[in-house]
Amino acid sequence: MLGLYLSLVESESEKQLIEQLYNNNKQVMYNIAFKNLHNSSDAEDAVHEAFLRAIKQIDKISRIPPNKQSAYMNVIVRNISFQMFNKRTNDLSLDEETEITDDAILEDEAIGNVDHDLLVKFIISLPQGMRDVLYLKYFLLMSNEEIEQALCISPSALRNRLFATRRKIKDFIENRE
Amino acid sequence: MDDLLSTIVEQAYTTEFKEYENSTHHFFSLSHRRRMKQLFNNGAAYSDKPEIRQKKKIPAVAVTLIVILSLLITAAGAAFFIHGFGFKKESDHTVVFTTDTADAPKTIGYVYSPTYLPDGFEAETIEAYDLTATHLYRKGNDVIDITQQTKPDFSGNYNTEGYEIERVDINGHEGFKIDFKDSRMYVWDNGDYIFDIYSTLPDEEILKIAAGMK
Repeated sequence: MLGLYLSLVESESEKQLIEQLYNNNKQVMYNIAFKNLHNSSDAEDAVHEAFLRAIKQIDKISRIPPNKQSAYMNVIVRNISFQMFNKRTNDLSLDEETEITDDAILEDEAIGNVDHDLLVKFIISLPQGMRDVLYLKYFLLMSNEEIEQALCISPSALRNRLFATRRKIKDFIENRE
Repeated sequence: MDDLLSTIVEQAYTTEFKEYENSTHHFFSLSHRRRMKQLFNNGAAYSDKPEIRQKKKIPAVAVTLIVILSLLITAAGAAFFIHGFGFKKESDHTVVFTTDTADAPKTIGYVYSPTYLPDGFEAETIEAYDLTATHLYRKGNDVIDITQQTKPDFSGNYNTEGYEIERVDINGHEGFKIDFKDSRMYVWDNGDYIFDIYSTLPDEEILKIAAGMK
């Protein structure tokens, strides 16, 4: 499996990008993972796993603006450490495999009517899995396919999570109006 | 819809992850470093090796200007400078960054090695990547951990909660030292690269190792 990932690092510039991301972000990434896992060895494993995923998506990362590449690594390592924690505690995934029709349309006008600071606080209060897809989808502007790869979840799980997230935001906005 | 939501989500991300910027320095384990080395090295198998670069002399004018600037800014406030470095002191750590990266190599083209080591130390790992090179030696519980980093990519968070950064002369270069009581960290800029030596040895021994980096 490792060989498969590494074979995706084809150019010197991509390799340098990965190494640079590691040198610049490893401390912050470690601390994000440690906060979830409370174990140094597991936190280091999470950082390593994050870079394996990053290598798999190196083409996408190289197209993310440099000032946002750290955000990608931070979200991924948090997601990995959360998954590791869930495995350790035998927790169950929140994502249902049953398909849900996404009718939670967020209107720009509706968002514009809500106090942005309150909406920011509300987003931060959402479950970690929802925040991760929001950051990847709307901050890093990744496609659904790219997010599925980054978070290692199925297309239906992503769609359901996006739907649930948008639904929560929509409900929050409607209750404020 | 997406533009406005993107702005708000970006603000949420920034707010949420801000706390991690104030994190302390973690020394990664040897096994982690080995795995990352394997990852980087195998990645390199698919690309050309960088050319070995010749060592360069430190631009004297730049050194003079930065030393003067350092003295002026040190007197001014919380951020302070030592040749080649800027420091931003936070409550429990200090963020260190490079101030003079002009003409510095962007990759490790020349790996410096210690020509002096105290008796009995044995090499545990010697690694060279594109942006860092490390030498780790051990003798019982004593350790000598030397890192060479490219200047444009250098940045570090050093634990200074209860510890002070001291300006020191290292191998003829101005640098800094943090004494962690049971161990010490020396960091300096030789003009091309940033070096640090973390060791449990006394100051005199560390300075001799630093002087022997060739």
